Amino acid sequence: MSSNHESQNSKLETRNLNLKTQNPKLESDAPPPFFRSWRNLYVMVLGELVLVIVLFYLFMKAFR
Amino acid sequence: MRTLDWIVLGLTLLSIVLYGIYKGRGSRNIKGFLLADRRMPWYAVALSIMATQASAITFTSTPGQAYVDGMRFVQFYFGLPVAMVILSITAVPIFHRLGVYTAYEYLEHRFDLKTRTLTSIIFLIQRGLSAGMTIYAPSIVLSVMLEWDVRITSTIIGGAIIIYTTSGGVKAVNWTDSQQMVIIMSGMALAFAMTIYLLPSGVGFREALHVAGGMGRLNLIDWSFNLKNRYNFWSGLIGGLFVALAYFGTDQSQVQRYLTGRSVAQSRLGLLFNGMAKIPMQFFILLLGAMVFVFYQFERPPLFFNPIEVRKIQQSPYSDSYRTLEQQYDEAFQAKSHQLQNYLAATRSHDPERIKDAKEKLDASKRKTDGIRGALIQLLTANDPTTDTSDTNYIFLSFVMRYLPAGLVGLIFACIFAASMSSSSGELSALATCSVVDIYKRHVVKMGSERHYLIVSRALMALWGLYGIAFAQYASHLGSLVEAVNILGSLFYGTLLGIFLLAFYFKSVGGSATFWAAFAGEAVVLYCFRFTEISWLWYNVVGCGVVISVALILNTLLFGSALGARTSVSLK
Repeated sequence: MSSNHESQNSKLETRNLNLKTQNPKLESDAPPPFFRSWRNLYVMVLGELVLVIVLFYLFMKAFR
Repeated sequence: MRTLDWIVLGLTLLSIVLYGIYKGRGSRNIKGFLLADRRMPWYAVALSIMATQASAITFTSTPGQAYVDGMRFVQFYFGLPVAMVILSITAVPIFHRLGVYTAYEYLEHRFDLKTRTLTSIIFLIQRGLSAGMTIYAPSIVLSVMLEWDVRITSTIIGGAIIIYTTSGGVKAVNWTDSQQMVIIMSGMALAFAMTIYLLPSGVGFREALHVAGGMGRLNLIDWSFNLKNRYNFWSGLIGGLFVALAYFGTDQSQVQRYLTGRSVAQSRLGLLFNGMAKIPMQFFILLLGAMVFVFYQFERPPLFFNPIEVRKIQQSPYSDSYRTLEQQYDEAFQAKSHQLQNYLAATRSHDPERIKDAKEKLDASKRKTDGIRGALIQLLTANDPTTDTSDTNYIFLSFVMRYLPAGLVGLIFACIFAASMSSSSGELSALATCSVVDIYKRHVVKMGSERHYLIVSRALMALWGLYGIAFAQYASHLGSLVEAVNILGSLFYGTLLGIFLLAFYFKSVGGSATFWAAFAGEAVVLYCFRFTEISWLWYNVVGCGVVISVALILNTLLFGSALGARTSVSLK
């Protein structure tokens, strides 16, 4: 009985999953509250990383 | 500690517990208790992520690490912002779309039950071990500094966490994490300002930076590529990327933080904020350590910072040798101070020859003081071969207790307690969630009522807390606490990351191939740990690579693509 129930549950989960993934208007498509697009925000995070590394290098050189 | 310090410490700890109980009220179902009803705003998610990652070890050991080894540890975090972007694009939308409680739940959707159970058990072992460490590490340091029994410090930390996590669940964890992060950063900022203020007259921040840089403490970037070197640019960027991907993408103690976001956008913003703030925060804590180092170039530091070990040697047959070393250290320190003044005068003259000459003399006098410290360590080992010869974890707190004013000392100790509570509470809530959702609900009682699972969740949170306290009270001494925790995590993270990357990116690979590949990946990581000199930062890369390669081979040769992805929830 338990394995029967498990199999039904699994089928239901898979169906729900497919329904969710087939939703044409995904929540993840919503833009961020700032910087207009997620792409811009990602570029900003990576840009800050590059800037920080450059600043660290200059800082180290300045006080070596 | 003075009366004002005790008041500040007591009130801060009380306010954390009360705030946790207040913010966590109203968790009446399992979704509220384990996922904060998915109602958290991005800033609370971000602060909770940062607070969970930054344990008490971060704030006790990291300044000490800068004191001993310089600031090169900051490179370890270079891969983190990249990982935050990757996870925001991949993991966050998938986890949100499926409405999962744990990261491992997704693996059952994608592969099968056995893969979900295996990864959840790996997490429970790995995080269970480090949860004990997260309470133990600060407990032992605080017990030494406050001269309390370790049982008292670990009981305060663990007991406070149990009170607010069992009453308010993850909502209480996330909100207290945010509060604790604000307290911690305020305390550290005040400590930084005071350290600069305590420098001798005529030595400003700029001169202090010259001293730190001249004595090798501002070694922020090392471009060399060396697999055996833990902290260089490439280890940090590549090794650190894999560590961060594994930690934030597969470790339930972090996944749970952003699963509580009220939308994909709020969870993503939480992760991205962490990606932007983490490196500057680590830089600041390391710079604090470098400034403490500069302070101790003008003020004679203790020969050894762990007071318990010093007391042991003073009461041993080696006490005369110890006194001799103390006298030698006094003289060597005076000579070094003299050379330091010469070096500062040379830097002001901007004469390269004079600076070079002064620097060489300063280095020679520093080697002498370091040599005396080395002789003391040999003495400590001769007296007791099991002694902990690393005093890195005691440097910052020793400075705080000796030189910071009343009130601020209490606040810094409150910060250390708060940091320990923030990371431990995140771990305990994740351990309880996996125990309930992945194991108990899936294998033991499958059709229980909402109330039943809520009671079990509360009970398991309390049990994991009690386990953490028990571990802290019976754990033996370890060397460098920072590395112990990180090494522990690295032995499993590569395998977990490999499984998740297969789930996200390799649609044709099925559960059985992944399941057996996980064992192969773990075996190779354990081999590297035991028999090679490869730095632990690279274990994640190795483990992950082996899991993916073996799974692809097994899938092609034995299991076939018919057993591939069960659903379409993976990345195209």
